[in-house]
Amino acid sequence: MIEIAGATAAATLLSIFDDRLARTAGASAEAIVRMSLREMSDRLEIQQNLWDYCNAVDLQNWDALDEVFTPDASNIYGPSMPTLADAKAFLKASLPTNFSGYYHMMQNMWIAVDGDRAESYTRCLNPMTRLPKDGQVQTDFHLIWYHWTHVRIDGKWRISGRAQAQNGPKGIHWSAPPAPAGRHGPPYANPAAASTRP
Amino acid sequence: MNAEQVADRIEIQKNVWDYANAVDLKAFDGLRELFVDGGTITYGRKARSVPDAIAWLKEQFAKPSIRGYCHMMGNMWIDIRGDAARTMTRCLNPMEFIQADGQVQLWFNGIWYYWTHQRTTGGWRLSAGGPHAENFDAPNGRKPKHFGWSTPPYPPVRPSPLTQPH
Repeated sequence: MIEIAGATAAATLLSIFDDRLARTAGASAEAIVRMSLREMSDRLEIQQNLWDYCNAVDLQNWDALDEVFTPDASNIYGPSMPTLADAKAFLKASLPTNFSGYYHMMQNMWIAVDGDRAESYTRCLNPMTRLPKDGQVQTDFHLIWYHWTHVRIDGKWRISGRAQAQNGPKGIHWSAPPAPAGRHGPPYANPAAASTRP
Repeated sequence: MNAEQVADRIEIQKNVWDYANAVDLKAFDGLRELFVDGGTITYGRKARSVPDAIAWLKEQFAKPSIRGYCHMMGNMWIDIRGDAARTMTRCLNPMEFIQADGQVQLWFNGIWYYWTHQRTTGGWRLSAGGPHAENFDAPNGRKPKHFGWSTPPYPPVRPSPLTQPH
């Protein structure tokens, strides 16, 4: 059983090592224990679930989020946005209008699967460039963790919500000094143009 | 790739990510299960046993001068020879330091991790390596260089998380 609510980051991570120990103890001396096809495909599908989230947000393809999340996904960005519709409305309202560019690059995925439920920790490099102000742009670099739960519905893994609303591991946040705008054309400098992108 | 080769590759990639996540989530004791018995980690030029390395990491990352850090691993080169393997992985390693005067400085380190891996009855494990492992034979026989850049010092104020959909 995966422990989710109230678990510390360390305790959650350690469960995977406990699992590894159990497999070692059960294996015969001759047998090579490899990941099963099922374990590999679950892992790759959940990894894709996370990358699909990033790409939907970064390409501002809001409706693709309906495929990424379960319809009843909750607490995606915290208690102030309890439903998927709230989260989508927030993204639509904030990202094209407050930022000239940004991305979400995810690596280091830690994935624990329990039947049709799963939990993931993922590192995300997330630079956000604010709209130019007084001819200057400023980029905030965020190195954050996503800690999500996933469920398999009709054979497809989806994100069902945030696993841990508080007491999660800390991210790194740094704001670059303001720099003259226009040296590198940011992709969403013109919010109207953003809507024509895929 | 056949299914077994795919499994080897995914497990070895998982070794590299599990190491990084154990360090970044401060689950240092979890490192023990990622390594073979007698495994070593080399920090700087010093190879340490895994228990010694765990003690060293706990000491280093307990320092109040380190506010945040990350080991983001991508671009893996994986070379599997039977029951042994070696990897070379690009690591984006920002380190956030609090200076004596209270100002903060962020170092962006672009480093390489080198690991050797061994297949055990419990699956693939790390056996030796680290961020500055000497004597590692890179694919072209050359020593790849590390990259680094540090920010100017800045006040210890974080950007408002309210602008950020976490």
